[in-house]
Amino acid sequence: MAATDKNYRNQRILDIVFALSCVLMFLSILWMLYDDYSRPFKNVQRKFRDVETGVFENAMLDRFPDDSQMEQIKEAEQAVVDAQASVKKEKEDLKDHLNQFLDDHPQESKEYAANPARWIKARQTAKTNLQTKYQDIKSKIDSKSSFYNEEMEKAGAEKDERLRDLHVKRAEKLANEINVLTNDLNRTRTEIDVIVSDLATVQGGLNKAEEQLSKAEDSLKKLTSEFDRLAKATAQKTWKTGDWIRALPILDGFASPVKPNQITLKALPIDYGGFADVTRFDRCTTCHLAIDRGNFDKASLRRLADLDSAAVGDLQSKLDKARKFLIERHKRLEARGEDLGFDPNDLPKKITTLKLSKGEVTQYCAHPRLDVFVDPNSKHPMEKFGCTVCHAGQGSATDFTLAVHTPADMKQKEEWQKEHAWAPTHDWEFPMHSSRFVEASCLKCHHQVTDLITHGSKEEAPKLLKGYNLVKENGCFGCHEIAGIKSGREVGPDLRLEPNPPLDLLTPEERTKALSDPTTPPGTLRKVGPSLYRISEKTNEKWARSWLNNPRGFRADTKMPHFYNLDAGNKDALPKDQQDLPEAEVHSIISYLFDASKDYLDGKDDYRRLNLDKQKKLEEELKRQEPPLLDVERKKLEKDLADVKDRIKYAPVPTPIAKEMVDEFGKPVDLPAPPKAEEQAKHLTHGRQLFSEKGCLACHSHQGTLKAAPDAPAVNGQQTFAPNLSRIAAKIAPEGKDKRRWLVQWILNPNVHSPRTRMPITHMNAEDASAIADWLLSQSPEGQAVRFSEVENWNTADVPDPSLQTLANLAKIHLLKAPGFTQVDVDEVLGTADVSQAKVVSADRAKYMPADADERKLEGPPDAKKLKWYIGKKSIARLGCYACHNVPGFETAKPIGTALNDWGAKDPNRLAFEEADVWVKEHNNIVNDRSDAKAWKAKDGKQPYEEYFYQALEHHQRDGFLHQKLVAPRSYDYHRLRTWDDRLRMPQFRFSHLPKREDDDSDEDYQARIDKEEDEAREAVMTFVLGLVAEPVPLAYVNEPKGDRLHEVKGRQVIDKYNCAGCHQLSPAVIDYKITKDSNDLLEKSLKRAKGNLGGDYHFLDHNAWTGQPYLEKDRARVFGVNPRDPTDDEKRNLELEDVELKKFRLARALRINSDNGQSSADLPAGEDVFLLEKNILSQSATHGGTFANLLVDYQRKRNGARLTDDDTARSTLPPPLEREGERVQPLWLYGFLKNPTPIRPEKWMALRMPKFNMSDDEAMTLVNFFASVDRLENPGVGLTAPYLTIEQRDDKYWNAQDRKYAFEMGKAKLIEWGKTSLESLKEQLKTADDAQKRADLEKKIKLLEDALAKVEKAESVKNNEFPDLRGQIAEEHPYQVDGYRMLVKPKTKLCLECHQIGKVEVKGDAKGPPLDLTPDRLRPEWTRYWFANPNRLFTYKTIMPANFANGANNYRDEFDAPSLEQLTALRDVLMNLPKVADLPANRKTYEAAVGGK
Amino acid sequence: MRSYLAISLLTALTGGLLLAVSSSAAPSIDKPEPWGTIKGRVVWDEKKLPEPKEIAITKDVKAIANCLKDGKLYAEDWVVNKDDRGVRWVFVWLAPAPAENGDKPAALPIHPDLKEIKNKELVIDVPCCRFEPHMIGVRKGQVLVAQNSAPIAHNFKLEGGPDYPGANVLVPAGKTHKFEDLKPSPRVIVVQCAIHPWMRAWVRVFDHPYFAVTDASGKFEIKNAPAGQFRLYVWHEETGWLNKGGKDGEPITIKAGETKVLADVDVKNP
Repeated sequence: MAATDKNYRNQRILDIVFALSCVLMFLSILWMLYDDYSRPFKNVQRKFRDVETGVFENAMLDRFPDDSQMEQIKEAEQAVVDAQASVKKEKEDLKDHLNQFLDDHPQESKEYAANPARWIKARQTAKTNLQTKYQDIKSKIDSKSSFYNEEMEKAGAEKDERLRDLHVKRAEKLANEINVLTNDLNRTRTEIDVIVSDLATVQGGLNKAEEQLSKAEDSLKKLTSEFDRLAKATAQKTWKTGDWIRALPILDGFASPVKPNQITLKALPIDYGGFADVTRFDRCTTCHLAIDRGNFDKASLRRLADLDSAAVGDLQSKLDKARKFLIERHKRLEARGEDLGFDPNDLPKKITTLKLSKGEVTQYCAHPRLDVFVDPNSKHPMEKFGCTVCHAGQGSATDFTLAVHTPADMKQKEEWQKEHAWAPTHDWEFPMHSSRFVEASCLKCHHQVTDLITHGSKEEAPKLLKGYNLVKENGCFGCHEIAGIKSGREVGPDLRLEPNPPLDLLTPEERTKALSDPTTPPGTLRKVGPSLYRISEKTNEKWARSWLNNPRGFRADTKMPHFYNLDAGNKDALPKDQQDLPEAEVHSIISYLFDASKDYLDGKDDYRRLNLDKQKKLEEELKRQEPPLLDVERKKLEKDLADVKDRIKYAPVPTPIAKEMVDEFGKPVDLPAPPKAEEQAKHLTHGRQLFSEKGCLACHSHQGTLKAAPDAPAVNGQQTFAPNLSRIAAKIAPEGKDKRRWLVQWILNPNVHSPRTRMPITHMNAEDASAIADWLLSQSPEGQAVRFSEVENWNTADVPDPSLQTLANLAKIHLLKAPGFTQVDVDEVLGTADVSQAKVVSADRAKYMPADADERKLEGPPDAKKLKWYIGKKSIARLGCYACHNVPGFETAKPIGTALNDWGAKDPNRLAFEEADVWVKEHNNIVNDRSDAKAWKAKDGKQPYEEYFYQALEHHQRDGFLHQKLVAPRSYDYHRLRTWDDRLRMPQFRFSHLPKREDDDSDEDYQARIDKEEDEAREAVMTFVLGLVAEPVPLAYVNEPKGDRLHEVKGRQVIDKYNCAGCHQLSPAVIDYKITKDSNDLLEKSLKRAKGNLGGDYHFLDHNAWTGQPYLEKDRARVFGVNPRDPTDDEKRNLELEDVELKKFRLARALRINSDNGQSSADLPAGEDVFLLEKNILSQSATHGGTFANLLVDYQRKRNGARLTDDDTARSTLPPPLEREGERVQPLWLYGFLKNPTPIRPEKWMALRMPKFNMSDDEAMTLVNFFASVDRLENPGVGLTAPYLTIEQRDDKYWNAQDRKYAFEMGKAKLIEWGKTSLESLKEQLKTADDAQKRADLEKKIKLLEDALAKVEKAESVKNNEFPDLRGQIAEEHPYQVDGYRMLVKPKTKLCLECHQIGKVEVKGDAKGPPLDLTPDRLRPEWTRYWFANPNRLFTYKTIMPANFANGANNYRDEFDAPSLEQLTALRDVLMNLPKVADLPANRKTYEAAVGGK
Repeated sequence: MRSYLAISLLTALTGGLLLAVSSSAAPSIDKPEPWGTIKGRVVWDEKKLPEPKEIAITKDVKAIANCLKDGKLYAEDWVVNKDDRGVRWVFVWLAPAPAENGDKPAALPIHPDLKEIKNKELVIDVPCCRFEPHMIGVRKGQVLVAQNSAPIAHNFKLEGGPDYPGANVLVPAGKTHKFEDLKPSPRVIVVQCAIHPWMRAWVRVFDHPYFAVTDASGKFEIKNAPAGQFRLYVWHEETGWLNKGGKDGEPITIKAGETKVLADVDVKNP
């Protein structure tokens, strides 16, 4: 084509296209800019600046001074102005002062007359120089003095006269020099003094004025600083023009105020699995902007969101006033050349109003509990921990959905869908924890779990702790390994079964060996179910079958799970050929257990038999001559033999109780005969009384105690630690034997039946035990005892006997799995379809089976007994019964369940969800929301099911799987064809404890409450399991409690194990309390009451019962209280707070109360009552323990009304609270007591004795350490030493010092008394002295003393330390010990002996306190002193012990001449060394009666 | 059941009828004194007198000997005179009428003779295992001296409700403990001894001198009481309020110069 200048394309079209594309491009750039500008997080941040202004604005206006404060401010300002003026004036007058001074001192140079400042400076320089000079001379003198001393010493030691003279001369020279220097020094001192006084003359007025000014400024600041600070913050937070410009599109690319925030965590990488670990970036704070700012609490934000027009109006007028006030003040300040620190014109002119959705409030609010999380000073600072470590989710995302937020329920899900277009994300393996399970993460670093409890009772992660306790209680660890160790590193909680035999039974050598590997210490947990070794003595097969078939039918709140009749495994759901199998299995299991138990009792059980056989074989082998044994062989055989012998040693042959019953000490006793008919009623009442009083109700409950009967008040025990005993009469039923016998033996000494039981020995004699047993057995086993969902008539509840054919069919299934058995073999042995065709296991075949093969039992013609044994053993192995029970024949069996060590991190793709969701859909009524009581109902017989979990199941999420596994464990078999022994095995648990049924509960309401508690308990268990991720967190992050805290954490585990808290109150409630004006007024009322010190209290500064801690924060106090209760109407009326919700506590520790204006504070000591406003209680933990003691107060009063006149006295007969136990008792004593509790307080007075638990030495030590450590942590001021302590009263040095001190301080009368005693003693000595020199000395002494005494008698008054010779002599006679002892035992004072006995001196009538002989070994000296000073402060109830030494009472001056505090100290000292002090000749002579053998 | 106090003006002194003087008026020579006296009796109103309850003592020999020094011990909840049926140990006191506007009522005016507290110390003794006196009214400023004149130890455990500091003080034989700075309280303070649990005494603290405890014939008298409208309270440890109006008190008008004799307060076994 020819060249042409014509364009190839139409230029115009091109222009248009170009123009259009330019426009398009421009638009797309705009679009891009817009899109970037409106990224979600930017909008969030832009909105936040208004939120920020609003929050500060509100806070500022809250602090805006009211009229009276305004008046005060004005006055204070005026005071400042005045002070400034006077400073100014003083400054001006300075010249006059100086001139005046110069006139008065004509010798002074007039050089500085015109310039006072220079004069002052010159003087100050001169002063400094002189001071330096002074120091210089002083050091010279010191050095010369030391040389002088040295020379004099040398001179003294020198024998050569010449040399001595030389030294003396040198010394003299030095002395001269020192003299000169000393003169210099004095002169310098005088010069300095002159300058100081000159300066004061000239400058004094100014100094005073300046001081006044600073005082005035301070008081002004106190009035305005808070408001000023907030006003300044508001002014600064308000967006100004510059901020607007920088946030504009495009410009915001450069130093924009709107930008993503990021925390980089190199130490906590994300494990993507397979890839290298990737650094964690958390950008959560991009949107959660105020997460670490305390003043952005939810309440403030909601207030901002809910402003109505009236409130806006109010605030607006307040804001106008505030602006005006500040601007005026600013002007005034400027006039004086000062400023506010900000420009008040920057304050917003209009009140910030904005709409905040519920989600936005959450988004912008601070993290809860900043004292624990996020804050830089908290335990989990944001910079170190980030966010996703605990919350999970995708931290690097800045988009709501991509961060994988997980809703907590359907309601939230819908809100999020609406607000954030949220959708489930499957691609991120660790979606954020929903708020339901967020506590699971604590487990990553808190492996002890109990370290999440602080101050004894404050549970920082209550749900997780609940789950942990439920897992321990229900014995999940029996089947599922929860080991907490991964390749030698601690990665989670360690819940493992103790080894068999347990460590406690081993010899010390063996124990050391077992504990030698620190990376894999043996487990410590006991099996949760009772031992079944001796089941045949306890009950019968019929009961056991019915029980196994339906445990909750017998006892609604049993921990035993259901294995049979579960939804997916009930008869109808099974294929036809399996329908009879469950019954056959139940029969077989029980039959096996009873057979094995009987064999065990006869000493013929398999374990023993096999081991004895083996022992015999090994011994024969060792004797072998031909071929001769090699050394290696011999060693191996010997080792094997030793092992076998050990096994036999730790499985001794039991003595059946039919043959012999023993008491707590192992002494044989006879079963008391049943009472005669006429005594029956009395006997049974006695039994019920003992059952109620002796502590049974601390762990068990029984319906028989709920209603009052004559002489037996009602006790409404709800304890669930041990089984509810209401139907025990139906259960204890050994065949053909006496029911009583077993029960009496169990009560007398439960270790006979089961050496590992946690049931303690309650020090009962056979008669008392039989009374309890008879009462228990006399209670109706049915009828009135039946509670919710229980089977009414237990007698008829049995499982039908299976046919022999069914048994054979079931046995065949197991036999097929046996080694060497093919289908042909099985059919041959048990018949193809008809058991009568069976050809049995031949003797030949049996011979070649291993010694422990179960199939050996099938030898000979098949009968029901044999088949049942075989099936029973196989079924127990399959179902894992031995995980919770000790079962004969399963001594070495391994757990059967999936390990849970890292289940929380398990890839959901590896979980077999099967068709569980279909099962749920078909069997449940899926309800949107759990909290909707109306919708939460069964429909068409289908139980309600929360949609949250249904969806989680559908979406194949971990929590969905786990939830369904716990609700209906076998439902994963649904629509699956499985052989009998291939079916799922997990039984169905009920985790919650049965709630108390109120009288007005309808069946429906009650069921709903049961379900709700179960749901909560299940979620708690899930929280724990989901937390088991076995993630090796860097050691720096793992919480490894040390020292005292470790003891506290470990101790709590032992306390939970033995249910110490069932009886004893262990720690007070911890209440975080908001301090406002009204709450402060209320506290001040309590303070006022406490200040009326009628009982003569002391105030010990270092002890937390008298001295409180400062507030946690400015407006947050921590209160430690016990015995919470609602105040009576009368009390409320008295406080003039009739319509206010109040709680009353008795303080367990002193509470520091700041006066309203914050200027002063005072301590409200422990033991006083406080009333707290419920609305101000920010958080409250329950008191830990003491349930039984609380339960029995009322009972005791009703039973012993004459003796126990009030609740507090009744309490003193019950298990004591153990708050301050570590402070109170000596560790060694406590250890001995725990191992073997002896009576402390008189048994007649107390309702019960501390039982004896079969705890190991280690556990007892752990408890001892626990108590000492807790008190060291909580009450550091008293300086508790642990675990060892020195008792200085056991040291003669201490006594000498005390005797001397006392002798030198006693008054006239006492001095004369003791002078006479001393004189007598000298005369006594004179009589027996035979040495002439000695006699002369004594006579001289006597003379001196007599003179001194005469002088003393003549003197009008005698001062301390006068007559030192006399006093020195008296000190020799141990006056401190003698007078102290006199206070204790002198019949007239009868101070202690009214209630306590010492040695042989018994208290007639009611002895109330512990014998004082216990004191030296039991009590700590310091505590004893505080106790004597004011017992009421140290106990959690009003003790009956009076304050014997009220402050200022000085009651015993005749006996001990010193003030009360010293008297009580002396008494304490005497008690701490009682046997020795009582043994002093003077004491022995005078008060012989009291010197008792211990 | 409880019967109540009827106000009746049975007798009046002639001078008192003439002028009604407001309670706040200052005394003057021209006018009659604005002070009156009230008298009355508390009487057992049932045929059968209450049986004295003997106290069983479970202490050592010495204590028993001391406790029974003055004869057997009887509970002091009901001490009724056999001859005139007067009920001993009943508290009677005056209180200001509540102000109409709901403010705190003004304090009772106090007679010039009574302004000064003459008896600074009140003694409560335990000569033989019971408190003597069994009931004691204390005026603010008076010191309650717990005295133990017995040869055995006793303790004084004071409980006065939520607004009162408690005390549990042991007083050895022959010693005393002073309860100073007792604050007036609307509640009764119960005094007990933990060593001898049957011992009881009752203390009330007032900020004025217009209170009385009935004597062995059930009689009480409040002298020099201010004229005007007040409230009267009558309280017994077992039955509680015996006056009309219970805890709100019974309105009473005292006229100047008058000695007002109140109708007998009848008591029945609760």
